Amino acid sequence: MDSKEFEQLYKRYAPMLYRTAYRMVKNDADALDIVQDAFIRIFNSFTKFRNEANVQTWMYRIVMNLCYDYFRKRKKVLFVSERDISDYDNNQQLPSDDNVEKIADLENQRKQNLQIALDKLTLRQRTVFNLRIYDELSYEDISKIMNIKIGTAKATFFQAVEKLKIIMKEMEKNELR
Amino acid sequence: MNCDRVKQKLVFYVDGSLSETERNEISQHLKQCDTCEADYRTTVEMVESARKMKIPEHDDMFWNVHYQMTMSRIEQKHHRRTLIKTLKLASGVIGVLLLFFVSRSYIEKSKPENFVSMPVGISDVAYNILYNILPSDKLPIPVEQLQNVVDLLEPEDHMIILTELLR
Repeated sequence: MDSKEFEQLYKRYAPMLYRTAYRMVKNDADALDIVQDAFIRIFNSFTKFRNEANVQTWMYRIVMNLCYDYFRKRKKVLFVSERDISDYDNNQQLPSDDNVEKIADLENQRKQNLQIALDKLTLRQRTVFNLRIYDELSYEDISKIMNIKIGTAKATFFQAVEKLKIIMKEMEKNELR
Repeated sequence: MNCDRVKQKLVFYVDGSLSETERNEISQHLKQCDTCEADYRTTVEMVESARKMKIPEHDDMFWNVHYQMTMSRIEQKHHRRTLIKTLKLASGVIGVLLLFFVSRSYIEKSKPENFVSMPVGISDVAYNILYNILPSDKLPIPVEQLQNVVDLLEPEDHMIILTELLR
């Protein structure tokens, strides 16, 4: 693969793959490392892949495999720290108006609850949820990336959303008490 | 469509992956059913909330630097791989050469000291003929040295000696 072609590919997909990796590992440095490792793999095996129709799906698969390796190495099947995203969200500047602040607080609270709820999903549920909601991939692409059937991808997404709703409902109940 | 069916399809209604017919059926049901409508709202809020979650953004300059770092790691890996390949090849060649020299020296050691390469069997035949025909006291040299002497001779010489002795 020539370096010009690789550079173009890198600049086009690296930010997107970073976001995907970040949502999985929730850590800037680790997500960047995953992107770097992914592009090293892409560089080394691009000629083998050249014939496949969807380069993007292939790259997502590489990133997901690296994320899974990351958790395997750290023996973290469930995500433990939600600090990075919460801190990042909390650091955002909010408008000074009281009502807007209240709404923003509620919104922030919901985001934090959602983050905690997302941590309680299984790795597969979380992966499907992320790929569907954030990356807006089709179930067909998700099934290819995760090497599962389309039906399984749909069922997993359904289970993930239902579980999130239940967990968030419980958390809201506890907050009202 | 009943509530159970809507509950199963609601997630896909929200993510927009249903067919138009199914979408219309669910829309109709939601207008009539408050429970499903509430469930729909919760799902939408949750998905919207998830979509709003921010992650750190990096600018083009950052990605340029990251690209350069990635390239240098690729080059390092490439050099390392080339070095490992060369080392493997070199160790293979050294191994083969070592095997060759060891086996050669072993063969050299197991050869008789004065062994002279000859056509197989010639010296044995000549020795046996001489030994069987002549009594040991008539031999020009001791029996123990006969083999060595015979080995040093060419096949033609054997025949000349035989002819001389048998005359």
